[in-house]
Amino acid sequence: MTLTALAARLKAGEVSPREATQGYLDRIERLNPTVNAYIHVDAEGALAAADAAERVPAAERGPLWGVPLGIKDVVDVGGMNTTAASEILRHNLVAEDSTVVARLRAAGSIILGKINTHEFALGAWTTSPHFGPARNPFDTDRICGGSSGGSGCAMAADLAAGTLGTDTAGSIRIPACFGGVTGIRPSTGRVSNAGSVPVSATFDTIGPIARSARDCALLLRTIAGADPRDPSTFDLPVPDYLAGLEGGIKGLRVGVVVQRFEQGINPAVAATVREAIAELKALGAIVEEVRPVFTETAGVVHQLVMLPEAAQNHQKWLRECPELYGADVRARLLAGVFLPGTAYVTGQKARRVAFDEARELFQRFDILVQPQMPVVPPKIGQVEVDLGPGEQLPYRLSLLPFNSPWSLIGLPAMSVPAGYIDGLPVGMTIVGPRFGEQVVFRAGHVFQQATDWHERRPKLAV
Amino acid sequence: MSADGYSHDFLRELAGIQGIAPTASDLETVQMFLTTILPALAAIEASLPPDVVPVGERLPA
Repeated sequence: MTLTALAARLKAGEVSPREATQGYLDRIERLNPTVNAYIHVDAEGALAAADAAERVPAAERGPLWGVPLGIKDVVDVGGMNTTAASEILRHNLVAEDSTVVARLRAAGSIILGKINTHEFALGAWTTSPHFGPARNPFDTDRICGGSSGGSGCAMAADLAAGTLGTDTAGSIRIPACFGGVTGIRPSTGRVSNAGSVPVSATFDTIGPIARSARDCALLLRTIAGADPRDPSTFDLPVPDYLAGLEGGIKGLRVGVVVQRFEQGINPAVAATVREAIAELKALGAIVEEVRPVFTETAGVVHQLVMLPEAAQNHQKWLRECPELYGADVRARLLAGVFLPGTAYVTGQKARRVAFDEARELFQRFDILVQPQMPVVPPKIGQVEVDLGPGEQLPYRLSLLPFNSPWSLIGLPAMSVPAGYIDGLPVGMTIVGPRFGEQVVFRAGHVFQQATDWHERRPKLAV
Repeated sequence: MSADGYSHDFLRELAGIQGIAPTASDLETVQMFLTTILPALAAIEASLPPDVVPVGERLPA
C-alpha cells in the first residue's frame, strides 16, 4: 500500500495508528532477519507513539497522522542511537530530534526505527562490516545500493510506509532504483541537514524514499523549508507539491541526456529506459536529445570537493581510531587527505561552469531524463559490473556519471521505477531545475499513472 | 600532474604530518586513486576559463 493510501485509510478510521504500526512491526519481525533493512527497531516507542496519536483530536491531526516511517541511521531520532552503521558511533545516543524528524512527528508520523546505511553514508553498497549488509528483497544475494540501502530495502520489502535517506552522490537515487521504488534527492538547501551525520556540506541533503512520486511529494512537503538550525537552507516558499501533481505533461519539454545511453551502460538497461522515455512521449511530452558537456567530468569534479570535505569531517577519528573504520571507507577518507588543496578550488570553479551550463539548459527544457543506474543490482561482493559483451567496469566507477552531475550543482533528481530485467528493477532519473521539485514530481506522477512498475513487489514481500 | 611522486613513503610522511597513520593497504588504494584522479584534475584545470569565479558551498537559488 502506498503511504498516501495508508494516510487516507487512517484518516477515514478504516485502520488505527496502532494497527498500522503493529502491521509494520510484524512484517519487520518476519522479514528483517533476511534483508537487514533495520539496524534498530523501536517497537515499544512506536506503539506508544501510535497510542498517543489515537488520543489526538481529529481536528488537530496532521497529514501524516499515524503513518509509520523508517529513518536512515545517519539522521537523529531523539532517544535512539545514531550509529551511521559505524563502530565509532555504535553507542551514540542522541537526545534531540533532527529537524526533519521533528517535522515528521509534528505531522503525526510514527517512527519505527533506524535504517541500515553504508558506513558513514560513504559508499554505494550498504555492506557495513559492523552491522551487516542490507540484502536486496528482489534477490537477497544482491546489494540494495547505497548509501541509503536500508531505506530502499525497507520500501521494497514493505517494512515502512515511507523512509528518509540522505544523498551526497546518489545515495537516495541508487537504492530507490535498486529497490524498485521512488526516491528524490531534493535541491541542495531545500531540506535542513540539522541533526544528521555529515559527509560533505556542499552536497549533502536529506530526502524521501517511498513507493511513488505522490508519496515522496507528501514527505518532502512535510520536511522541506528553511531552518535556523541549518544556515545552508534557503528561505523559499515550499510549494504544495501534491496540488501540482495533476495536469498531465502534454507539451512538457524533455531533454534526454544522450551520453548516458551511449557508453558505460548495459545495453538492456539502456533499452528499458528508452521504452520509458517513449512512454513520456506518448503522454504528450516533447522529447529531444541533449548532450550536456559538464556531465562528462562531473564525477571527477564532485570528488575533488566531496573527498576533502569528508576527510575534514572525519579528521579526529582518522587520527585517533582509524582501525575502527571499514577498510573501504577509511581509504576513501584518506584519499581526501591526500588531494592537493588546489584541487578543492578547481572543483568549485568547475562547479560554476557546470551550474551556468545547466541554467542555460533549463531555459530549453523543463526536465532532463536518463537511466538512473547503468546496471541492475550487483551481487554482494561483486567488484566489477557487466556493461555488455567483454566490457566490465568497477561498480564504484560505473555509477559516477549517472549520479554526480546532479549532486554537483544541487538539482532535484528523482529515480522512478522504469522496468525490470530478469526480475531486477531498472530506474529512470527525472532531473529538474534548481528548486524545481514540482515539475519533477508531476512528470514522475504522470508516468506512474500510466505504468505499474512502481507497484511491483518482490516475491519475498508479498 | 601525476601520481609519480606519490610513493608510499611520501604518502606516509604526509599523513604523519597530519597525525594519521595509514596501513600499507590504505596507501595502495590511495595511490591507485591518485593515479587516476590527478591527470583528470590536470585536464579540468586546463579546461577552465581563466576568469571563472568559484562557487561556494551554497549555490545560488
